[in-house]
Amino acid sequence: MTTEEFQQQAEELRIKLVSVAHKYLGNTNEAEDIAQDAMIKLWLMREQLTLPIIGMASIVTRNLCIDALRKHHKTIDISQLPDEEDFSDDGEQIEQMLKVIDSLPSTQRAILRMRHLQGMEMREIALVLGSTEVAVRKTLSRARKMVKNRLIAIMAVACVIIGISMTTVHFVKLNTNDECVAYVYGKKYTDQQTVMAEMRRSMGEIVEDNTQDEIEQQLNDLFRN
Amino acid sequence: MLIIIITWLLTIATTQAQSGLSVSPLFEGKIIPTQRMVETRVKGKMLTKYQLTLFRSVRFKANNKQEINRVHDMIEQDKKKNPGITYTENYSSEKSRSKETLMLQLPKQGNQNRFLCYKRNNEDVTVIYMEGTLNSLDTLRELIK
Repeated sequence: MTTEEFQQQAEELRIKLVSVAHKYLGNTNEAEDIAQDAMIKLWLMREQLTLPIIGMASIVTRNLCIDALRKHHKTIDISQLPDEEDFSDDGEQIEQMLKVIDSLPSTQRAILRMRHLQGMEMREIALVLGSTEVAVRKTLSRARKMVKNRLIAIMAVACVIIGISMTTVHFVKLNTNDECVAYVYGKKYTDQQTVMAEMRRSMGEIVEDNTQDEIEQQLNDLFRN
Repeated sequence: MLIIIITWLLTIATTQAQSGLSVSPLFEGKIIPTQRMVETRVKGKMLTKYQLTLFRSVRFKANNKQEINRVHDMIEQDKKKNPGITYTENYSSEKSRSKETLMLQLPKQGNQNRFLCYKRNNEDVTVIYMEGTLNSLDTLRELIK
């Protein structure tokens, strides 16, 4: 499809795509945005398109709508990613994963998004990108591996930081956290004078000179035997 | 993650070192009700004078022979489990003495010396656990005087 042909169809096509988006989203503003995104995608792949393009355009729009709906529901399809059991699917990690995906090279990012966020088939992706299914599969595999490695690296760094923080906080607490408490028959005392007096008394009990007691004890033992 | 957990546990274990001893339930009030004993817990700067970082003690008057025997058994277990420098006065493993003293220097934990002291004077029992850079109980005797 030539640029001229696309431009000729653009306005009519956009209205139809807005209509498709309305069916899914209901929201006029968002449906307009989605239709606009679909138009951009179609424009980028116009050279691979053949007339009539309304079928392909509807699929692209539908997938974008599904993507938008998924975002509303805070869900994401990560089932195809390898070793997904390594990551819990809480919001924070999904957000982290999306950030990682955004940091990928453009082709890998686009393929990963189309496959896992928009649910497109390999054939559709290949068609959109003007590539072959084999090439798409290879790029997708590389993208998945890169996402996995980056997530592991992020987790490792986070773990190290948390570990260092916990240990630092603990040692700081150890060094600064004075404790001074005495329970005298169940009654709590925290004033330093009382506690230290009790402490000295206990110490005194232990280290006091026991010579006299010892002699008495030995005499007792002697006479008992 | 495992390394972090282990590090954390080790540091926790360091703070509550007496928890590894047989006599630790006594400090937790599990042997003698807290209403019947005097418990002291001091940590930090106040102990600098004594070259200590942690001091814990319990003092109580035993109500019966079983209580004395139970504490004596725990002390005996710690003595056997931690063969180290001991200072004894009239102490007997057979619990036959009404007055006895045992001072046990436990194996070092990190750079901390550890001591466990036990004294019985008829029904009066005192148990102390200490940690710090203090070299020996003789030094402590000198510091207290």
